[in-house]
Amino acid sequence: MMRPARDFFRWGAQRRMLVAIMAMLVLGLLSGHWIFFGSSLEITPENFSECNGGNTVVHVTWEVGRRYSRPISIYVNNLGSTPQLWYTGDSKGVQDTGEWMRDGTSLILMDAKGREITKRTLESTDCPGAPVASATAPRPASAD
Amino acid sequence: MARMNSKQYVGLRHGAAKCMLLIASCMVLAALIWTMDRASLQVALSTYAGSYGFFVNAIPFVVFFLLFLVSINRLTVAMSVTLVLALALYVANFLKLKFLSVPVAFSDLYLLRDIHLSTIHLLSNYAKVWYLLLAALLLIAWAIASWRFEWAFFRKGSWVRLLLGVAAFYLAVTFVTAAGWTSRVYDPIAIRLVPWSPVLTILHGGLASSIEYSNLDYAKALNVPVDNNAVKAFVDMPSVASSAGATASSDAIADNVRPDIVIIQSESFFDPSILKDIADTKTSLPNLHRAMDQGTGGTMKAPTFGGGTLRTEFEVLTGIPMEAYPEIDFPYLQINKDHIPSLVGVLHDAGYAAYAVHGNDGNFWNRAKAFHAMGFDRFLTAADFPANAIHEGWFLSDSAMTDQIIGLLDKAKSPMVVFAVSIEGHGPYGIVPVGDKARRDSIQAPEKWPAGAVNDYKNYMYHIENADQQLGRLWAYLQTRRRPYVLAFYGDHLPGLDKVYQASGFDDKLSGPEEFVPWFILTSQGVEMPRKHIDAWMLGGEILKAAGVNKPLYYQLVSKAEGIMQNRDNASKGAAMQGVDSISRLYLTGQLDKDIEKITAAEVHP
Repeated sequence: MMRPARDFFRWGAQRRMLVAIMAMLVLGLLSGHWIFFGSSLEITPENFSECNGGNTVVHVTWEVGRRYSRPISIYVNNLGSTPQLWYTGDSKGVQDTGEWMRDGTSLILMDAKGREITKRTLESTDCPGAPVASATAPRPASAD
Repeated sequence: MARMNSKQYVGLRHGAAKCMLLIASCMVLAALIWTMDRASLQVALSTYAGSYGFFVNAIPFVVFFLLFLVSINRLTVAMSVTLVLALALYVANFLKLKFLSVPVAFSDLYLLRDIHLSTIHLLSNYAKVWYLLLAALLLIAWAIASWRFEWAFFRKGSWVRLLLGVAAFYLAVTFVTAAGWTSRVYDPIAIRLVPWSPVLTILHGGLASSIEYSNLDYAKALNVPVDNNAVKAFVDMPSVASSAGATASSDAIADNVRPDIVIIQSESFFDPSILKDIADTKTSLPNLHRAMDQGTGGTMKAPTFGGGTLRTEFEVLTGIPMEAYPEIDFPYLQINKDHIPSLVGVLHDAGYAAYAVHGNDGNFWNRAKAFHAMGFDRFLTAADFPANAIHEGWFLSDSAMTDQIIGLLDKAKSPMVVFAVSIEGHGPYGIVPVGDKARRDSIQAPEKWPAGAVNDYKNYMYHIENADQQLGRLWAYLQTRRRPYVLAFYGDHLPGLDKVYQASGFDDKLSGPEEFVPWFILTSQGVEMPRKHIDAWMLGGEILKAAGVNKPLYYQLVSKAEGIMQNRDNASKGAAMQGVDSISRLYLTGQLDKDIEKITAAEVHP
C-alpha cells in the first residue's frame, strides 16, 4: 500500500530534523577535534578514592599543538576559587602535582595569549563504609 | 492470530520511530544539560558524566520538555524552550558563583516567589538586559516559526500523548512538592551530598539534584530540634565578663532622657586597609577611624559575603545566629510569622518609637512584612524619599538616606530608634554610575593591579567614601542636637570585589568570605573602649547596653555567650555556641521564658 503523501512529508520533516541534530553533533565533535587537535592534557589517576584522605597527588602529562602560542601555562582551579598559576614553560611535559589535588580540582591548560586549550577535573569515589554526613552534621574545620 | 495489514504496519513503524526520536531527544537533552552544569562550575565538561547524578539531574528538564511537548505538540519548540530555560538557570549559577562565591540554591526560589520590580532592577545590574531581551525575542520568533512550519508530533486524539501528559504532570507535581519518589531518587548518599559544600554537591549530582534535595530538606527548615543538654550546659557555664562596651550612665536612662538610637547598616562597607596592598585608609575613611578611636568597636563576623544583606540584618535585629537554622538562607522570606522577637520589640517595650529607612522598594527581601512582624512602627522606603533625592551608584544615595534619618530625628517627640539600611554601595562595581567622575578617577589604587581590579576598587571606594562622609555628617548632627544618643554602625558584608581580592589578597591571608566587617557604637557620653571581635548576632546586646535599656533574658544569655566567646578556650566556645543555637530556637518560637527553667531544672541525659 502506498504511504499517503501527508505522512511522507511529516516523516520527512521529522527525519530531516533528526538528521540535522545528528549532523550538528557530528560537526560539533569534528570542530572540537579540529580545535584541540594535537593538544592533550592527561591526569593520572582521573579518579581517586577518598579512603586515604581528601587530597592526592596527580601525574600530569601535556602536549600542545603548534597553533597555540608559547610558553604554555597550567592553572589550578578549585571549585568556587580563582585559578592559581601552577606551571609555565614548555609545550610538552610531565610533572607531578603536590598532595593538594582534591575532588573537583581542575587543571587548565592555557596558551601565552591566555586562551584556554583544554582542562581536566579530578573526580573521586566515596569511601565505602564511611559515615554519611547529614545536612545538619558539624562542618569540618577546613570547610568553614 | 490476525495478520497485521500494511497500514497497521506502517503505523507501528511510525510509532517506533517516534519513540526512538523521543528517547534520543531526552538523551541529547540530558547530555546538553550536564554540559551546561559543568560549564557553570567551570570544570571539564565530562566531569562525572554518566554518573548517577548525570541522570537524575536531567529528570526535571526532561519532565518539563515532555510536559511542554504534549501541550504544544511541537518537538523542536519544546526542546528549544527547555534548553533556553536551562541555559538561563545555569548562567545564573555561573554569575552567582562568580560574584557571590555561592551557587544557585533552592532558597533563591523565594526571591522569585516574591518578585518585584526592585528585584528585577537589582538583578538586571548583573546581566545585560538588552541581550536578555534579544534572546527572548529570538526564542519567540523561533517558537512561532516552528509552530508554523513544524508538523505536529502526536496525531490527533493520540492516547500516547494523553498517557505521556498524565505521567509528566504527575512527575512535575511530585517534583515541585518533593513528594513520593523524589526522596528515594534524590537520596543524599546516591547524589553524594556534601553538606558543608553546596558546590561539591552540585559537582557530584548536578544543580537540579542539589536544588531538589534542598527542596526535600527545606520542608524541615524551621523544625530544628532544641538540644536541651546543650541549653543546660550553657546556662550552667560560669559567666565571663565580656570586654565592657559602651554603657549609659544611670543618669541617662530615666525615661525623659533615654538616648535616641540610630543604627546604620552600611551596604558592602569594609575597611580596605585589611587588603595586603592597601596600607592605610585614614585619609579616605576618616570618620570610620575617628569613630573606632572614640567609641566601642572592632571587627564583626557577618554571616554572608558579597550579597545576602538580610542574613546580617536578621542577626543584628533578632540576635539569632543564622547557624541555628542551617537550612534557612533568606530568613525574611522563609520565616513566615506574624511576630518575630527582635531588638526593635525590646526597644519598643522600653518606650521607643521604631523607624526603619531604606532607599529601595520595601518589598525587596520581603522587608516590609518582616519589619512589621519585628515591631517597627513605620518603614520609610524609596517611595517616601523626595522625588529629587540624590541617586548615587545604582540606587538612592547615602546622603538622601541621612536626610531621612535627620528628618525623623528632627520631629522626634519621644525616644526614637532609627534603623537605616544604606544601598548606595551596592555592586556590581565594574560600571557603576558615579556622580563625580573626577573624584572617582583621583582615587589612588596600587599601580601593579590589573586594570579591572583598579576600576572596581575606585568605583567601590568612591561610594564608601560617600558612606563615610554621611557618617561624619550624622555624627556631627547628633552631637549638636543636645539629646543623648547612641550611634551604631556596621558593614553588612564584604563586597564582591573578586578582581581586587585576586590582585591583592588580605593581610591575614584569609579569603574574602572569611574576612570581617567593621562595627562601632558611639554614645553622647563618648566612652572609649578597647577594640573587640563580635558576631553580628551579638551587636543587639551591645546596643542595648550602650543605651542603658534593661536586657530581657535572651539578650542576657547572648551577652553571656559573647563573654565566653571572647575569653574562653575553643571547647567552651563550641559548647556555648551549641547552647545559643538551641536557646535562639526557643526564643524564635516564644518558648524561651517558659521552657528555660524546665530545661535547666531537668537532669542531663547523655
